[in-house]
Amino acid sequence: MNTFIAIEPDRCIGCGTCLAACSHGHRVAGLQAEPRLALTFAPQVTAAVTCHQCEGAPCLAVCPVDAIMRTDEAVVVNEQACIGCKLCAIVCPFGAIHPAGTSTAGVAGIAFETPSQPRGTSPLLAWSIGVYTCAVKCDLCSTYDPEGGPHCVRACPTNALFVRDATTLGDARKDKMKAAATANQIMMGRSTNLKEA
Amino acid sequence: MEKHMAVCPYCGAGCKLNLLVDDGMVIGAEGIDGVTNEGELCLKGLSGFDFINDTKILTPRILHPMIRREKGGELERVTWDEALDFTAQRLTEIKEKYGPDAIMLTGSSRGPGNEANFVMQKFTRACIGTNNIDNCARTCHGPSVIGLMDTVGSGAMSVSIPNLENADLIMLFGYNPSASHPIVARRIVKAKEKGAKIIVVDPRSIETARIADLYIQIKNGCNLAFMNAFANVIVSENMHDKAFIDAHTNGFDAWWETIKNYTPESVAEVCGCDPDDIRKAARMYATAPNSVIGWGMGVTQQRQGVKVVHTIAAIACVANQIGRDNAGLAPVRGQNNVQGSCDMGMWPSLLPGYQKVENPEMRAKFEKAWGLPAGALPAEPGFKLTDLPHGVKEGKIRAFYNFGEDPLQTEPDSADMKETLENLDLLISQDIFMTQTTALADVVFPGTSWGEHDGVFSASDRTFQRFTAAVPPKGECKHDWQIFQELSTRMGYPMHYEDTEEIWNEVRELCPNFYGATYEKMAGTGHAQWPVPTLECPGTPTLYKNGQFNTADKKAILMAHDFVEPTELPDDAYPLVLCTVREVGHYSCRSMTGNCKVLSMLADEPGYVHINPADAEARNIRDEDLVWVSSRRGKVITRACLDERINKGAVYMTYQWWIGKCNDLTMHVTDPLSGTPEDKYSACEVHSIDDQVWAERHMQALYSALKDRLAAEAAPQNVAPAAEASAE
Ligand code: SF4
Ligand code: SF4
Ligand code: SF4
Repeated sequence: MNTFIAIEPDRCIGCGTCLAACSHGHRVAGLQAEPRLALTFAPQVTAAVTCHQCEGAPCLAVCPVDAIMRTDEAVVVNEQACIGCKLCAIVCPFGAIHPAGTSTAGVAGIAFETPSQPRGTSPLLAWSIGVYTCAVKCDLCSTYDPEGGPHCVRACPTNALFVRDATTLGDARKDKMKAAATANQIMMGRSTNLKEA
Repeated sequence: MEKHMAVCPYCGAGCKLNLLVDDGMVIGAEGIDGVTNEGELCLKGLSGFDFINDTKILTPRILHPMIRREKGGELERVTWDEALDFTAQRLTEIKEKYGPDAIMLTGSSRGPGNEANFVMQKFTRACIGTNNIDNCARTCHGPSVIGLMDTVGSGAMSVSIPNLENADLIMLFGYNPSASHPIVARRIVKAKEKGAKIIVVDPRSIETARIADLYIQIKNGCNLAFMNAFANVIVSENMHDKAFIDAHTNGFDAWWETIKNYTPESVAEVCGCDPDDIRKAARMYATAPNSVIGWGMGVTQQRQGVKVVHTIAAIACVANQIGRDNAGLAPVRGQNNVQGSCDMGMWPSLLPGYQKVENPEMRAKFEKAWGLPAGALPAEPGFKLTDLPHGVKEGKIRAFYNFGEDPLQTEPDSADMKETLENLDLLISQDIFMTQTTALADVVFPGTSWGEHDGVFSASDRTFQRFTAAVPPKGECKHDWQIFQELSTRMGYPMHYEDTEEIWNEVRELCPNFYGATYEKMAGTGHAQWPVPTLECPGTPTLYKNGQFNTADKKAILMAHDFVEPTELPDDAYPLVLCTVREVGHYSCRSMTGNCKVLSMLADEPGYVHINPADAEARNIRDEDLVWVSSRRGKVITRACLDERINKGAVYMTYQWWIGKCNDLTMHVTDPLSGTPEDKYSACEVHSIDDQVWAERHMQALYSALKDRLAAEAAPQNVAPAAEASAE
C-alpha cells in the first residue's frame, strides 16, 4: 500500500520545524529548497499537510513529460525533466504539490527581486522574471536519504507526524477503536469555548 | 566530520545540540539529550547555525576592528591596538570630564555567555566605577524579576521546565509558548496527554488554546483587572489555604482590602469575558492538586507589568500552588541567556548572584576579591536601559557601550532611539554583525560568534549548561571577555584571564548560590540548576519548598494594586490596538537567524500584520496584500494576514522585521516600576494600498537599500590598515 506522512493535529504547535527539516535536507542534496509540506492554520486546527503518495496518483497520470514516477518508496518528481506546466498541482486533491523556483535575485551583483504581481496571486499563476519553476512534492526523503527516513517526522519536536504504512495504519486503526471506546467521553467533555470569528 | 557540543543560542529553553563541522564550516546541527530538550530541537535550533559561516544573506559579519575618528565620519579599519587605545582614551576623557556615571553599558543576553558578561560588569563597576549596566531583560522579563524579588524573593521560574509536564493544571496567561519556546510548548502538549487540564487566557486564540480545557479570550490591556478578579474568586469561594497564608505570608489583610473590590462582574466589561469563566478558571486552578501559572511578554510589556506579577505571585501563595515540583510560577525567559545576564549582575542594582549593590557587606566582599580599596565600588543603583533616551537628552549619559544587542531594532520608538544614539559623544558597539545600531557606532569591536567560543548559559529555569567552540574565530575576532580585559587593562585596572573556566571559577567563589556549578559537573550534557551552594549539591529544580521564601523572614509578601487602563487608548484616528509579538522562526533583532539559509527562506521581510478578517474587510484589505500601518510615531509597510484567531479591534506584528518594523510605531512609555516599555499596547491604523505591484516593488527596493547600506558600512573592514598606508 502507499506509505505517507500523517499528522496528529492536537500535538501540532505550528512551529514549522518540519518545514525547516524538509527544506534543509533537499537543499543540501541539490534539490529545490522549497519545503514539501505546508502548514495550515484554521481556527480550531493547525496541521502540516503532506502528499498522500496516492495509489492512483493523479499528478503522475497527467504529467505530459513523465517527469513524475512511482518508485518503490514514493511518487517522485524528476526536477530535471519537469517543464513547470503546473498540471500536477491543479489535479492534486490535497494541494500537496506546488511549483517553486530558485530566484537569482539577491545573489551578489544581481538586482533585487522585481515582483510583477501581488503576492496574493495563486502560486499557480505567480511568476517572476528569470525564474524557471518546477513542481515540488514530498518524496518521503527517499530520493536523497533513503536510509534516514522522512526528515520531518524525525524533526517534529512534539512527535505530531507519523509514517503511515501498512503496519502502522492497521495498528493505528486498532488503537483508535480502543481509544474511541474509552476516551470518547474525555473528548466530548473538552470545552474550548473558542469564539467564532 | 566533527561534532561539537553546544547549547542553542536562541531561546531560554536551553536545548542541547551538537554542531556538525566539516572542513572548518558548520554544516548542520542535531539535538542531543539535554535535560530540557531530551534530544528535540525547534526549527531555530535545527537550522540556525549557518550565520556563523558569514553567509551575507542579510548583513555581513564584522571581522576587523573599526573606528570613526570623528562624529559622522567614515568607519576605518585599524589594528586592535589602535582601536583599543582610541576607545580607552575616549572613555577616560569622558569619565574625567563628566564622571563615571556618564558612561552606560548593556550586557548581551545572546550568544556571548555568562563569563563574557561577568567580565563586562566587572569592567563597568571596578574599572569605570559605575552601576550603569543593564540588559535586555529590561524590555522583556524585567517586571518578572522585580515583581518576584519583591514578593517571593527570587526573580526566576520556581519550577523547572521538565517538571511542567507533570503538573495537574497549567494556566497560560499572556504567553504563547508555541512561538516563544517550542520545546516548552512540547512539555505542555505532553502534560495534556498525561491528563493535565490546560487554561489559556489571552486576547489571541494561540496554538495552546486549541487544546485548552478552558480558553478565555480577554481584551488587550486588562491583565490586572482579570487577575484581581481571579484572586477575588479564590478567597470569596474559600479556596485559599489559611494555614499556609498564616504560616508563610505577610500582608494578607491589606491585600484583601484591595482584592475584595474586584468581583468577576465588576471587571467583565473591562476584560470582555464572561464572569463565570473567571470563576471556572479560578476554581480549576485553586482546586487542582498541583497548578502552574506560566506567563510571558503579554504580562510584562504592559503599563502595570510589575503589579500583575505581584498579583500572580500572591495568587500562587494564597492558593498554596507554589513550592512543589509541579506547582509554582513559570515566567519563561525569552532570550537564551537573559536569565544568565541577570545572574551575572547585568543589572543596575545587583552584583552577580543577585547580591544588592546597596548592601555594604556585599560591596566589601567584591572589593576584597577584586583587589579594590574599601569604598571603591559605587553604592548607588545605576541607570536602566530605558533611561538611555532621556539620559542622553539631559546630557547625563555621554557614552554608550552596546554589547551584542540592537536597540534600534528591539526598543520602542526607533526614530527617537536613533536620535539618542546619534547624540552620544561615543557609541561603542561590540557585535558579530553589522546591525542597524552598529552602523551608527564610533567604535566597532568584532567579537567571536556563538560556535567560536566556550562558556556557560543559564536556561530559563535557572539551569547552567556549558557550550563549546566548534570552529576557530574568523578574521580578527576576539573573545568578548578578552576585549573587555584588554580595555580594562589599558584604563588602569588590569585583568588577565586565561580562559572561561578561570572566569567561571571566580563567579562561583563570589556567588554562594552558584558555587557548586563546576565546569566538571556541566561536562557533556551535565547541568546545574541554581541554587547549587555546595559541590555535592546536584542542583535545585524547585524553589520555595515547604513555604520557605527567599525573603528576610522567609515569608512571602502579598501585594495588591488597583487596575489602571493602558496609556494610549484607541480613538477615531487610530482605532486599532497594536500588540507586538514574536516570530517562531526568527530571533531577537534577526541578525543571526536572518543570515541562515533555511530560516530566511521560510520567513522574510516585511513580515505580517495579523488582523481579524472583519477588520480587514472594513478596510478593503485582502489576505497577503501589502498595507501601511501607521501610528502617532510613524508608518511602515507590511503584509496583511487575515487571521480568524485574532480578536477584533487589535492587530499583531512580530518585532523581527527591519522593513515592516513595528518599533517604528510603538511608544516609549514604560512601567515606572521596572522601566519596561508598554510594547503590548498602543494605538494604530491599517490602510490598504491600491497598487499592489508598486507596493511589492517598493518594499523590495527598501529592503535592498537597507542591505546595501549595511554592507557599505561594513566594507571598510576589507581594507587592511597597512594596505591603506602604502597606498598613500
Ligand atoms: S514540526 Fe511538528 S509541531 Fe511543528 S509544525 Fe511541524 S508537525 Fe506541527
Ligand atoms: S517526508 Fe521528506 S520530503 Fe516528505 S514532507 Fe517530510 S521531509 Fe519533506
Ligand atoms: S530556540 Fe529554544 S526551543 Fe528552539 S531549539 Fe533553541 S532553545 Fe530549543
